[in-house]
Amino acid sequence: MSVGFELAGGDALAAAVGYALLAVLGFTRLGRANVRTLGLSYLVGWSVLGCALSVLLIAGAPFAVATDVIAASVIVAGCVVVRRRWPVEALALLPRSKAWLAWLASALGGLVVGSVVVSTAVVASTTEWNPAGDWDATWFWIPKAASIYYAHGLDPAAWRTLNHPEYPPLIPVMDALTFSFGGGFHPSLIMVQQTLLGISFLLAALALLTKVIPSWIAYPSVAVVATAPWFFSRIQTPMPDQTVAYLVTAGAIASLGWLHDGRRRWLILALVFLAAASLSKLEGGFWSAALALVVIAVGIVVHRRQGLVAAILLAPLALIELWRAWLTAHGLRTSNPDYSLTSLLHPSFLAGRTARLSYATTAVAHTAEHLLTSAAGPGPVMVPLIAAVALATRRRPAVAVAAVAWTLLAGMALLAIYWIGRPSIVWYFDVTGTRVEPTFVAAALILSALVVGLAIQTDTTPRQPRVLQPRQIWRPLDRLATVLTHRDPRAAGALGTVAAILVGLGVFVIADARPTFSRNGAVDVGALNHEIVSQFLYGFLAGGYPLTAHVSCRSSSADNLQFGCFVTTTNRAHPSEEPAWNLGVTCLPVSIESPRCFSSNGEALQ
Amino acid sequence: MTGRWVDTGRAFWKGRRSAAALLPGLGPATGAEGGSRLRLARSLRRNGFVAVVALAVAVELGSAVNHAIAIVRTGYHDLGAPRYATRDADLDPFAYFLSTDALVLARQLIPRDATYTVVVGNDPPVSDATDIPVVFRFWLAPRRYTSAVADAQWVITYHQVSKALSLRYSRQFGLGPDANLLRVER
Repeated sequence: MSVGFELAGGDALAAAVGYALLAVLGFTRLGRANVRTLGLSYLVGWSVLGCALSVLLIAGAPFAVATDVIAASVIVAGCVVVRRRWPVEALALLPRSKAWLAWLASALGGLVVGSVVVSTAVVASTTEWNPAGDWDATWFWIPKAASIYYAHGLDPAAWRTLNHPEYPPLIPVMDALTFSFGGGFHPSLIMVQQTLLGISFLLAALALLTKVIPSWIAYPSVAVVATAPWFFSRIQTPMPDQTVAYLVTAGAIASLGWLHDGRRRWLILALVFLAAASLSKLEGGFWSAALALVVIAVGIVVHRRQGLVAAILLAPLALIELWRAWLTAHGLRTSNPDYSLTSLLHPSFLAGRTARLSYATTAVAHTAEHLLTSAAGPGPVMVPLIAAVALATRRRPAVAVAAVAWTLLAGMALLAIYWIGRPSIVWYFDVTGTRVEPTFVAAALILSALVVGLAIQTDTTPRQPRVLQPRQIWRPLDRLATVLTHRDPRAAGALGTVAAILVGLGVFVIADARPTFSRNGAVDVGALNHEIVSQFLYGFLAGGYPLTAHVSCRSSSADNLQFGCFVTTTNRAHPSEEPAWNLGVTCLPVSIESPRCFSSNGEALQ
Repeated sequence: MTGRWVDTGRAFWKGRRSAAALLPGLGPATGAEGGSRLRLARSLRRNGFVAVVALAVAVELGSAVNHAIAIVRTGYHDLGAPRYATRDADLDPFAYFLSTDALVLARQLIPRDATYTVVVGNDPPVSDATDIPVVFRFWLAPRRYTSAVADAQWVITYHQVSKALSLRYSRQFGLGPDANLLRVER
């Protein structure tokens, strides 16, 4: 494929924006460091420009190359002013080890990453994409970009006709920018740009990690991710999942960097990545919010009052709200019709669907194991890696607890979506699982290197907690701080172990509760009502009908297994229309593996 | 008793400099606090950790090199492979679904501001009938797609006999062996 040189200009602009921001934050300086941070500069610049253009388009600005250039120029100029007024000392790389085994590991890891980067670039320039494999990209992601490109902005009328209008706009905006710089609607150029983004992520991960951990640990771990079959084979994909993985992982590294040394520059970097992740896909918003909550909690414990500054990581939620406001203003739906988060507040509904949670838990665990072993080797080979992380947890409890807590929280958020989701769980997981899960695995592999690398250093201990004054308002946190910092690593290890066991038991109990809970007792009418709303209302929403529904079921048999349900709906676009109908529901006395209830029109109520 | 432990530790770390030269952090523990036995215990604990980490890094490198060989081989193989022209790379992947000629002709014939629809028939049978309109929609942007035939100015018929649609059309264009394009008369 002959890629036009026009694209290079756009990419150079993104790298310049990223470099300017990194220079302001002290992550780079003129000289050799620039080359090292080229990938990081591009990833940061891409994220900043993506957020800026998305916000501008939501505000009604026209989409054009000029908009991108002006936005980039303003950002760079702002960075120059800030840099001159508030100069920041550049963050130095860790001193290179003179030990020859360490040098060998770094060199071999670097060689692997370098050869993969070159090979990836060559392969990307000679292969075509597979629309059937990336069907959602063909169905709505790239058409959204085309609509922005042709309409010179966000066109609500065009957006309404495309599937999942509620998904945030950053990915289509950046794809449209590719069309603009590429001189026309050329979907194949998106694959080139995605390859560039993937390569920049690898280099960015190296640049960030080597700021805080020895290169002989950083390079091999990034090499494992770079050569993982699920990473390499999807580096070209126009689907946003891989991009979200890059952004969330980079955000996690930066957040944990702040937990480690308390320098606020890490938080700003994390904010950039998490904002871009939140504006890329709904899952990016969930995982960013989960990361923010974990970092705030651990940050307050470790850094006390200064830890509150981590609340800035919640700012991406404001960007999501901005996007939702645009959707609402143009009469578009604001949530994914496949699930409703409020379902999580309905215990009987959740209890009736534990079979879904059970399936999802098994499937997620199985897929994670497959992804891990395919990347790092079979189970027994991974024992040293797991042992190293376990030992490191005792030495750097705060960072380790944050990394593990976020991974668990993000995983549980994924399970929760499968639990409350409308589509058949088997289909839902088959379609999404293998795309979404690599995010965790890539993040887990890289964060494990971060934890181990921090633990192995003896001379770069994190900031010790200051001596607290009596009756200080943060005193209740002192004991927890003692556990989470260096004062008592054994207690931290014990606490972590107990917490992990409790979480594991909790998931097990919930997931395996179906034989005894709610699947063989009396049918819960409230849960049945919510299930029917879930099945039908979301189906309508997915079809583009702005309906709200109310369901009222009543038992129609002595054994309470037959129900008559009165369904009323309201069309928000035409409030005077209130279609209503009756629905019969039949339930089995006991059902463990299959849906228990069925509607009279053949819908399985899970 | 204590002396024996100390002696063992000193003997173990007799070559301190060479051990540290292997990996950073490898070597006896330092620090003023604690006695010799404590220092030895700390040394062993720390060196055990470094050894485990070194083993983990070795495993990671082994896996990475193992996978990298295939990747580099693929890259080397593709080095001499022909590059696609951008337009070919845009269009060729859709040959999996339908004749790309139909896509190109439809784009040439339907005006950019027009409204169109796609009717997929079963003559001869189509395996993935729902995919065909999606591919046309992908390729024909910014032309407006409508699912209602009555609202369309242009109708693409795919494996569908045009006359069976009971539409009044002013003109019919052939889009290759599988499809026709109708300009609807209003």
